[in-house]
Amino acid sequence: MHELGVAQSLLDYLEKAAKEHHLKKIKSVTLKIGKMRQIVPETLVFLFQTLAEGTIAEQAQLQIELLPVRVHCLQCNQTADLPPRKYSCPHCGNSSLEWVSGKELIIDHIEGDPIDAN
Amino acid sequence: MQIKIMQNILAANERKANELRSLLKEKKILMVNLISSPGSGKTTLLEKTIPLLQAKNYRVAVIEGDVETDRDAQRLMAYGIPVILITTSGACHLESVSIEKAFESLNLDELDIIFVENVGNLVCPAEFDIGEDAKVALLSTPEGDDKVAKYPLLFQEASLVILNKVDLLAFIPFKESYFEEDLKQINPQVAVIKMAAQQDMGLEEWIDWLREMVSRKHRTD
Ligand SMILES: Nc1nc2c(ncn2[C@@H]2O[C@H](COP(=O)(O)OP(=O)(O)OP(=O)(O)O)[C@@H](O)[C@H]2O)c(=O)[nH]1
Ligand SMILES: [Mg+2]
Ligand SMILES: [Zn+2]
Ligand SMILES: [Zn+2]
Repeated sequence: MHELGVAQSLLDYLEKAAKEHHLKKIKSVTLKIGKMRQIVPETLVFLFQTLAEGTIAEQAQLQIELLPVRVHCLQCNQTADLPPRKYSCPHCGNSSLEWVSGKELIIDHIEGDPIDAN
Repeated sequence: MQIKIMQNILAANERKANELRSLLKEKKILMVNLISSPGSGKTTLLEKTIPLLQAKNYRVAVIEGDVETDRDAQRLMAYGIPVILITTSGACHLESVSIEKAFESLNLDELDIIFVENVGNLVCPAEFDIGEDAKVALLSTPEGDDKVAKYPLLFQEASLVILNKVDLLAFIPFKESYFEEDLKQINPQVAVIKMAAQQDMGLEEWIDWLREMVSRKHRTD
């Protein structure tokens, strides 16, 4: 269950971030995850909610934006999204590619209530 | 209040991994992260490798990630080397904190190579940097010729891919050309060794690869 490690790392980070930014509650968390990571969003959300019970992120909404496996071809100079299990340029077939997106595992932003707000 | 973060979820793990990497650089120790499905032959490969390296005077240790038991660790302790067992009690991968903890039980001034046998699984061991110099992906032929395409992240991150149990190729429908084509697309530069660890086939090439990695470690200052 590879989402479990990710969910736990995310929660650890949020608890630290809440302290740092003086938040009493985290309301939402927006993630950007590349499709190469093979994360199932529903599984990640479920595990995160389970782990977050009783923490500062208990009620946080997880928003997950999946980023396509996108490459830039060094041969024909075009950018393309790769279909599953294909790793060559859809335009010219070349496999000298530069990654544009697809491997991200990023916390983009969070929303929370500051401790001193009423 | 919205707070921009823009940080890798696994940043804490990666930070620690980089600390370990600098420590290993300073100590000139090669650390190899062995990743495969359960039963592909990681422990067998280590059992074959250790005596060959000992014969060449390399000082070797193993960090053994096992879900439940100490069986693999017992198998390797027979060679008289330090073996540190990390039982993950269910967790499906090792993280850099566990490696840091294992280092406390090792004398890093008296080692040339540390092998980490990661937990048997092709997915998250590829995600979690543990400070290694190289990820070695081990695939055994009975698992099927489509695994490179199905688990691209691991095969892309690997510095070396070992195809193990090639002695079984005559009995199973594994198409080497599929395996090779997928690999060529996903990681065109990666080194590949075909091996039957149990039958002592391909071990020489593997030892040569390790020795080259060790000497590279000594060259980079
Ligand atoms: N036919 C054949 N069998 C092999 C070869 N290498 C290993 N095996 C067998 O495969 C089985 C599993 O080997 P292990 O070395 O325990 O595999 P492992 O990857 O360490 O397994 P886990 O630690 O449980 O993930 C054993 O029965 C080995 O004898 C090989 O080259 N050919
Ligand atoms: Mg084993
Ligand atoms: Zn192209
Ligand atoms: Zn895992």
